[in-house]
Amino acid sequence: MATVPLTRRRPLASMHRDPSAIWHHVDALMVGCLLALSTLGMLMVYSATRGAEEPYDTRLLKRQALFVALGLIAAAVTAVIDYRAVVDRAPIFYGATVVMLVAVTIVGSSRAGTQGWFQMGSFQLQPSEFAKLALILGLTYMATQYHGDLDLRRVGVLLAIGAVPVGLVLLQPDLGTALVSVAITFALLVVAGVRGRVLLLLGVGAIAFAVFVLNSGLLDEYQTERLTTFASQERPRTQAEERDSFWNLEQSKIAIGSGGVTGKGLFNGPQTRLGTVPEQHTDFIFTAVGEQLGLAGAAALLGLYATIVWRIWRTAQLARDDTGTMLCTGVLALFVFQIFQNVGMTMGIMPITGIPLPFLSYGGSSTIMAFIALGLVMNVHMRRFR
Amino acid sequence: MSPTNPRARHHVLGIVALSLFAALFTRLWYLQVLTTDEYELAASRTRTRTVIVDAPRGRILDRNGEAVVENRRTIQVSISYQRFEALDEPRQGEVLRRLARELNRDQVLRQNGAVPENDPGPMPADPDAPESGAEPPGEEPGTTGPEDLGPDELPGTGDEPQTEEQPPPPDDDPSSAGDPVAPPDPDAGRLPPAGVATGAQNPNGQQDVEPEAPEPHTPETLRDRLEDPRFDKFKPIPVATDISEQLEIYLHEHEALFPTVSVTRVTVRDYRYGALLAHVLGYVGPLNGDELKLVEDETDKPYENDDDIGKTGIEADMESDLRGTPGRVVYEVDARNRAVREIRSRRQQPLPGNDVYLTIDINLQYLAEKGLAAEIERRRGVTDDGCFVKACDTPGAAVVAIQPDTGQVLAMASYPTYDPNLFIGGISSADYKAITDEARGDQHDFPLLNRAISGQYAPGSTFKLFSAYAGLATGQITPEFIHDDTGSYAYCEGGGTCVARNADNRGYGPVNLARALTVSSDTYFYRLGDESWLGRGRIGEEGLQEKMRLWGLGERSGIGLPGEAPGRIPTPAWLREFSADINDDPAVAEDLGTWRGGTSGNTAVGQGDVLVTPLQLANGYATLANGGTVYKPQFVLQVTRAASDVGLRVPDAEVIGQVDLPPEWRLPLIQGFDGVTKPGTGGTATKVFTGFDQSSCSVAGKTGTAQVDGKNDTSLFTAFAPTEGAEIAVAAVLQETGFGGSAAAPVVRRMLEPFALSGCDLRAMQASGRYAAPLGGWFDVDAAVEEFVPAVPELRD
Repeated sequence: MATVPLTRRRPLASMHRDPSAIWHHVDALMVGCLLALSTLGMLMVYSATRGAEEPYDTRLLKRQALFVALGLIAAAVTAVIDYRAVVDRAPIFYGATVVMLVAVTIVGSSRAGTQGWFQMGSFQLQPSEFAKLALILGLTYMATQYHGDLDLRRVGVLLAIGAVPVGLVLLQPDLGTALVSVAITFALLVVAGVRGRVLLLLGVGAIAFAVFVLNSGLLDEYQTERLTTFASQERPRTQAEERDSFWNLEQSKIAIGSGGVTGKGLFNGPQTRLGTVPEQHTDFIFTAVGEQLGLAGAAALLGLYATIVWRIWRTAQLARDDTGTMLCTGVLALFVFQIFQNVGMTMGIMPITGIPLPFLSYGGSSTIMAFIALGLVMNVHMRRFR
Repeated sequence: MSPTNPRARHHVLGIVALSLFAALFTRLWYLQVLTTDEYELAASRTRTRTVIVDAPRGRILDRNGEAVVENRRTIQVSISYQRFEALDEPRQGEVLRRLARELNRDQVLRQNGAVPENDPGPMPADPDAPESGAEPPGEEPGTTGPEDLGPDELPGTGDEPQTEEQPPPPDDDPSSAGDPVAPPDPDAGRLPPAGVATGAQNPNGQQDVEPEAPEPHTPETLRDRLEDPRFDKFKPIPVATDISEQLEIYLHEHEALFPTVSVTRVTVRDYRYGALLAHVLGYVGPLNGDELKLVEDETDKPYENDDDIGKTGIEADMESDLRGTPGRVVYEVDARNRAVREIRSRRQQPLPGNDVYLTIDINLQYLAEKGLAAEIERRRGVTDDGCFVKACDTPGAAVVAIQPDTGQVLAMASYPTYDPNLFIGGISSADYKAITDEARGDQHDFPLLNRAISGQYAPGSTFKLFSAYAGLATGQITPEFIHDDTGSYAYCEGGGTCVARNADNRGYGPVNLARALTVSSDTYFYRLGDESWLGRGRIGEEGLQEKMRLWGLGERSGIGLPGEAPGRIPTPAWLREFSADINDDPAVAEDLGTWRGGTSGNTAVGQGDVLVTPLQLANGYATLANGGTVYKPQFVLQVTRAASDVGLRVPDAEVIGQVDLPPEWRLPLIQGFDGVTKPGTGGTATKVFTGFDQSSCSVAGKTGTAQVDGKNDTSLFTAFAPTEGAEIAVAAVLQETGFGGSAAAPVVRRMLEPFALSGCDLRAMQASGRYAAPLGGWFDVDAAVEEFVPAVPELRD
């Protein structure tokens, strides 16, 4: 590493001139993709919520812009603080999250049957979004302490760390977040070095558990129905199904399919604009992309996501220590699962669950959470040499 | 690769992530490239709603361009049965009580002229304002009534159909003009049934001084209406039509007081001449299930399941022309099916149906119906001249007039008749019963029956034209052949002797063909029939019949109007089969089924088993008049684009047969018929035509009197005028009315005298305006009796 004479040291100038400063190692490609995604996100939220005719409604656009701005700040802050210091304090974040999850089931406000929000003025805070981050931190914290030396007791501890937020989230009930949390836990177990046999057993156990839950009546009927709808697209439908579950899926598929290769043009999606597709600005925002921007736009969007995922994966490889690798792996699992689950459900290859599409879906908590998660990855990336 | 090395293991995760992205992209490709068409289609269905805009039906006009059927807008009150049934009992009663009160108040106000008759203005040409109630009346007809009625679908109305041309009060008898709930009067005898229009206000001569107020609405009548099985319970049931605009506004403003009640503006048919020409025009009603099946392939003018369709008559026959092409307005709708905006590029304007010009002359039609009603009225209760069984009282009658050179039907009347306006807005139960109820007796009472084409009658002496021709054509007789008419004719067959006599036992002395026709010598034709049978070895068993059939008898002519009957020319083979069918005992069947000389003679004078329709009769004489060409009777003069002179189609005269009529046969025939109406010839209609100035337009005719077992005689008369180069051929048939000269001939005189006075020129008659049919088609029957026919002396044939 070359030595550069430093005559004067001014705080800001040092950032630019100190070649060993972390700012020189920012992953520009990821930042670029991030900005592109959030811009597209704001555009699609606007398109999906502005209404069919003038005067157009810009309220949600403005709020989403605010969330993006807050997210950028949060990401920057997250990136600046050394991740190791963050992970060292993981028990605090984890504990705080558990407390919040408990609290929200008691005093939270509910929406669409799920009690998962704290009402704060005109904003809602969704602790389950942040629970995913806390889960990553908590698992990383414990797993790095084991250094890959995992007996069954330790695996049990890691499982317990995962199980607590999953259970609390299920109480709300927020199935989507719970599934994401399961995916994160599983990915981190893989990377933490849990033996293949144990992983296999866990996988089988998870499937058995899922079947049991679906048949046990623990879930509300609507949840079961939504989860299994995708599997029964071709069989004759009862009227009730037709009305409820299939509606979402059919309309979503019609919107995406009718987009064709080039789409109907931005702001010109009859299906999404007219409110035929439900939740078109949140969970089903991908339908707006598919309908208005067509295969070109949707594939480009997936490309942006793939690039980000690739950068996360690369960062996990480049990371200086296991802690960094595990953080990135957790975020990787978080993003991959959410993207696959969300986009997959709009196209009918995954069950319908309430999971937002990162950076695209309208929502404060989810947007800021996604920014923080990528902030963490950038944190690791920037400090790969230190 | 150490299993505990995180960096080694996350390669696996990378591969998983990659494959998941690949799966997403594949699915995306599938949806947006491979199956995008399917979804595009689904999308266009999801986000648009198409509102059908009904197109007005075409008008029906007479040959002079006088509009006979038009459309008008009216205001209708309906109740949604489904929603009404969902109300609780007290609330239902409350709604009906309130509604009945308002309807009655409106009725009274309208009668007093306090509020104007509703006139919602011209047809809305602009589909921009699709009214919520642009649907046609939502009634569904029941399927009742005997088959021979032809039109067995009877939707209809219960409200006052009279138009503005009502006569002064003393002559106004609402009970004959569509009072919705007037029960049939058991004492009225042969009165036209309630709800049946006769064209005459006062058919039985009773002097009703005050017009009765229409029966008021009550909660009970409204409830009956709702429960009426003829209405489709899934559509709004119309309970009142032609309400005032004031009531419409009131009901709209007080919607809360009238739950389930809706007020809509609808387009309905307007039969401007009331009952005139009802049987030819027919009527329209909502499509029923069977009809829907018939028209489901219709793509140019697709039907919705509550569209109106022509049920009978020209309305049905010319349906494809009359029906307008529905327009459509396509709206983009949101998820809640609310219209967001109209997609203008996909709008289709409704196109009105084509105008149909009939060959009918409405003025001549008026004369025909007026003449028929007048003569029926004059003959009512008479006990002579063929009404020997009981007092004359016609259960049915018909008149047909044809233009000989073209086969165009100039007038076609059937009695009793009905007012097609009754069907507008749903016919009331009482009216419906009145015009279909079998319990009223003889099926011939049915006003819906078009007797001119569906009625089959023994033609009596009017048949002698065909018999004479058959005799000439088979060589049995010649025009010069002289028969000595002694007043009776003895058949000699099977050893016994049976004697047939002229109607009045009178002998006419030596008669040739022309004279035999003029004086109507039965023995001449008995002999012709008998000798033809005896000579069957030469001319064949069906020699006469074959020649008779050349005139279009015994078979349908193929006109478009539904319900045409074939008539019957009996043959030995037919008689055998028929007798075997109706007689169980083989011996009796054999005896009665054997064709003899007498049977043949009976046939030759138009008695026995011969049946013709009035249309066939008129067409037969038209054929004689035009020199032998049998035309298919034609009703449609031309079809034009709506409200324009752009002709779309002019049907050609269609020749369906040819009768060989050399002058040496035709002239004696015509000479014979010409004498019938002339003084000093001994003609059978001489007296009826007394005072008829034939100097400019000579009338040839033939009386006919058909004996019917146990009933009064059927009175027939056929005529054509002028005798040479005839412009018109007429046949009149009146059941149970007496001798041909007593009833049918006067009817024809009532029609032909104005025509003859106009120089036998329909155009001149129309231009003179003296005999113009009034809108509404009403006339004073008592005054009509006094017209044209002087105190008629007793007549016979």
